[in-house]
Amino acid sequence: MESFHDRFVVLFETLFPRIYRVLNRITGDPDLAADLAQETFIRLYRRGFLPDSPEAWLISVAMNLFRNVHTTGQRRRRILSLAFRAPQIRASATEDAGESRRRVRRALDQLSERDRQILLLQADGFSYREIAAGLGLHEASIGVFLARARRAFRKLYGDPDDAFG
Amino acid sequence: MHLDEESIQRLLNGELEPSAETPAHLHLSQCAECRARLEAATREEEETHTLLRFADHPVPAWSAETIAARARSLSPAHGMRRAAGILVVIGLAGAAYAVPGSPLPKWAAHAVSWIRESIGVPPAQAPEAGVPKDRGSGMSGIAVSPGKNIVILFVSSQSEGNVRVSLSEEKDIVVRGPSGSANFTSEPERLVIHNEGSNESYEIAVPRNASRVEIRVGDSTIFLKEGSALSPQNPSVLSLRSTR
Repeated sequence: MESFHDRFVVLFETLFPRIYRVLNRITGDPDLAADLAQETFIRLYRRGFLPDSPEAWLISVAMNLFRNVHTTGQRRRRILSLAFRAPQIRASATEDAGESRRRVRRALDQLSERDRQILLLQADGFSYREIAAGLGLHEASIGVFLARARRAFRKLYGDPDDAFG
Repeated sequence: MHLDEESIQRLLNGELEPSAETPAHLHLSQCAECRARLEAATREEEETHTLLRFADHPVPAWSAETIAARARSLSPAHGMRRAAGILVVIGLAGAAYAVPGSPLPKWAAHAVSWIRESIGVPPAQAPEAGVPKDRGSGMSGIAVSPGKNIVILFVSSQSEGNVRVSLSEEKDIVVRGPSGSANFTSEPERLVIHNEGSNESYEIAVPRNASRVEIRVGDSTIFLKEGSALSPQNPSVLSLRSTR
């Protein structure tokens, strides 16, 4: 039988990039997202056995860790600074990308916590069941929540026609 | 009758229940309005996902081995936070459902002792001071709400000992064992009994109306109640010894 360690390795390779990507999109801070994703998987390893639904467990732990950091202010999110840190390569394409990044970041930050989590988790391929279990929501309503979150995001982003020409 | 928003989203994301797929597709084939809504939702999702990629950064190139190594070499401060977390869990569980003779104070005392060890503080001269002794039968326990689904997990198999499972008319699951025989943590839909090194026996009373209750020893399921169906049908006394 496969050992816990072996199963952890497989799980890590599959889910670490996704958990990191969601946290990075939520926080807007790649360093903080890396810390949180790492801590999430450390906790999974220290647990010593896999949960029934590893995806839901990881979502729940990652979001709780983020909430703790966010609310206690132990780490400051550096939301808008990312755009200024990005290398300024050349004019138009880079400026457009920088502006899009700023607008996406601003829209995500203005979403409610629940909308942001649902939108980003689904965008990274987590199932409705995993999202519901991870966030403590009723699975039967995830589709409606998701549609509302998407609409809110697009409204906050601005006129989508501008974004897509 | 048009498809509701939940159904449109589930169609889009492949999340419809199999039994709902055929009727939904049949409706789509006959309803231009719903087809248009689905197409609009598809387009909006694609555009949203395109926008979200602007927020991405490269994924750190860490290996599972690195993370596992970090997990194994915990700093004292890290251990202290973990212990504090367990205390919080115990506190929450106890506040919700401590039954008479609860072992919670004793477990909390053990955790406090562990915290002291973690941060290098010598144990108090009388570590049990202030902790009520179990003056009853020597058995103590905890009760938790079964919710819709709960897994009761014995972390380790034992060389001796068993678990007596009975059905009750109560609302809560009650787990009892000899005082000090095990520690536990409570998570959503899970009660974990840390029985490493124990050879004691336990009692679990399962509410007759609980939806789903599973008892496991490690990876092995030794008892499952789904609705009124029981496996095994007459559980009574189940071994905690390894079956492998």
